[in-house]
Amino acid sequence: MTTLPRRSPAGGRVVARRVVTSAQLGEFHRSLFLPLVRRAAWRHGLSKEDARDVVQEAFLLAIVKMDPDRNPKGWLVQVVDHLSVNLRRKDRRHADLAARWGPREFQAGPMTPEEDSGGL
Amino acid sequence: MRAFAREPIEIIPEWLAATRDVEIATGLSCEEALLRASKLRHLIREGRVSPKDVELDEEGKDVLHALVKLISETATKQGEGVAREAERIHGFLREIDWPADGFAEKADLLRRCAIAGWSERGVELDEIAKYRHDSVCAPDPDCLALGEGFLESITRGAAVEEAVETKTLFSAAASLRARADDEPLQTLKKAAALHQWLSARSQAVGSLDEADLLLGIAALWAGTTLRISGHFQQANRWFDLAQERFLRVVNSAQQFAKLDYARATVLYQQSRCAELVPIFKALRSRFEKLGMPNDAARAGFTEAMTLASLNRWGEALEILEVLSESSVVLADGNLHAVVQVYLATSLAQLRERDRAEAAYATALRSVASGRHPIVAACLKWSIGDFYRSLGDAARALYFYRLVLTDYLSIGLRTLAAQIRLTIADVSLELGRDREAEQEIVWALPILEEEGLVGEGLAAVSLLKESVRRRKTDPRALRELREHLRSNT
Repeated sequence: MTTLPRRSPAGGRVVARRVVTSAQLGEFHRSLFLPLVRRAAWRHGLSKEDARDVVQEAFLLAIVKMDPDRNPKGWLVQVVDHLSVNLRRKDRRHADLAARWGPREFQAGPMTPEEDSGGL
Repeated sequence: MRAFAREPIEIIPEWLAATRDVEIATGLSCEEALLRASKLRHLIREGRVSPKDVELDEEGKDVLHALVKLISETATKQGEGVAREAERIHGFLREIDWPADGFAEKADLLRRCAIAGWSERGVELDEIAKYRHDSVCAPDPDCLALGEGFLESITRGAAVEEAVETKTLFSAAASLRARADDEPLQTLKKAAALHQWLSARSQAVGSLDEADLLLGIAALWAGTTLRISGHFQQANRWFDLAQERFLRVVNSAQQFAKLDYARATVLYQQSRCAELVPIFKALRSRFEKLGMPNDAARAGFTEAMTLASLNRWGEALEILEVLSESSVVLADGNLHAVVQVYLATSLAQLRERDRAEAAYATALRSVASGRHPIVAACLKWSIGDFYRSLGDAARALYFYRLVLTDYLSIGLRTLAAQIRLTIADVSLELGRDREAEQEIVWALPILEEEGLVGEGLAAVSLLKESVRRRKTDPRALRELREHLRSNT
């Protein structure tokens, strides 16, 4: 991996920018992304799609909040766990609310033609 | 590529930018993985697949996760034979080589499998933790003797029967714990022998995660004895091994608390005191919450020692006064003696000379009634320091020489070399230059042999040169002692 200097959008300060090869992105995928997706999917019972979204959200948070000097992998694991638990809780609450208050077709399948026509 | 392997986290922004508009592969779908896992489960049950046959690509890893999920769900629904199956799958997973496991996935799978197996046997996880803690920390004398005999046999390399009961192994672990403070070198040999014996076993040890627990305990005590004898780097390597094993153990909060304590004591001995006060405080409360009063008392004592090292004698005294009256400390001869030593030292520092001398006398009585040479040596070292701080160098020298005799009698050469340097320092103060030279001449080769002084350390060269000229350089001697205090 090489590092090129780049002028920041704000002007003035020069910041480092990495040039990353596709092999490195592939290695990143295997060594960091997929283990976290597996954790979210198998430990927290998420679908693979939800697990992928959770890990990407964790990466977005990492850019802003993570301190790379303090066990970054541990930080990511913790964030993925929290986001997964939140997502499951949200899904469960949604399902509970739908069961109690949702439209009838949500609970008992599609409406009959009579119901659909307002009983006319 | 190597730089990337060291710090993959830095690549996150590039990864997100590169995958913004493309489909990201996430491995097998959960449904497909579960389907393949049920086939693998069937093959394992019939013994038609070996761990070496498992392809550990991304799909293979998904299948193993699915397999553990299957066994966990079966365990909660059915019952019959699932415990045995969990044990079989646990053994299967343990044999799989899992390279570059940065997220400890294998340990996680093993732990979840063990949880399924133990739950299925009808035992609560808290009960397992309690049984294990009691077996190792509060064994009866018969168990200790049993464990001691077993350790003697494997250390000698004598033939031991293949099927050893788990109880014997727990007794061996208890014996390591009981002897570590008094006989560090022998305990190190025994702990290393136990670790080697467990690692080399082809036959399963105990059920489920017990092998990992015992390997972790053996590594923990090997590291602790090395820490006691002043070999900190090696100690940390053993602690890393212990951590790797404890990750695979169910309900391992107690083990991790002990491991964290062991690592913190290494930092203490490296004089990183300022950062340690809150750590020991937190450890003390963690031990209390986990129902480990002995360990809580030890953590409290180490917190007091740390405060003392920072010259916060008043705060140290507060903790020590509470500890010296607690039933846990009174029941533990070793701990009681060292608490008295520090109590006395704190009083001495706070200019309460009479109370200090009384506390030293209590400590000496306490040490004399037991058989704890290391504690006795520490006590005498502290008494020496006490008299030195009062300006009584001759009496300090007398106690330092007693410390030297104690260390030599138990074979702790490194610590003996270090006290020799202290003796040299005091001898110079008393104008006994020839004695000082002699002590330095004895100490330096041992310190060099043990790798405690770097080749380029100026203080060593200066000291050697000054001794050769028969005019010892006290500043070089002091620098060397400072160096040893911070690096050993």
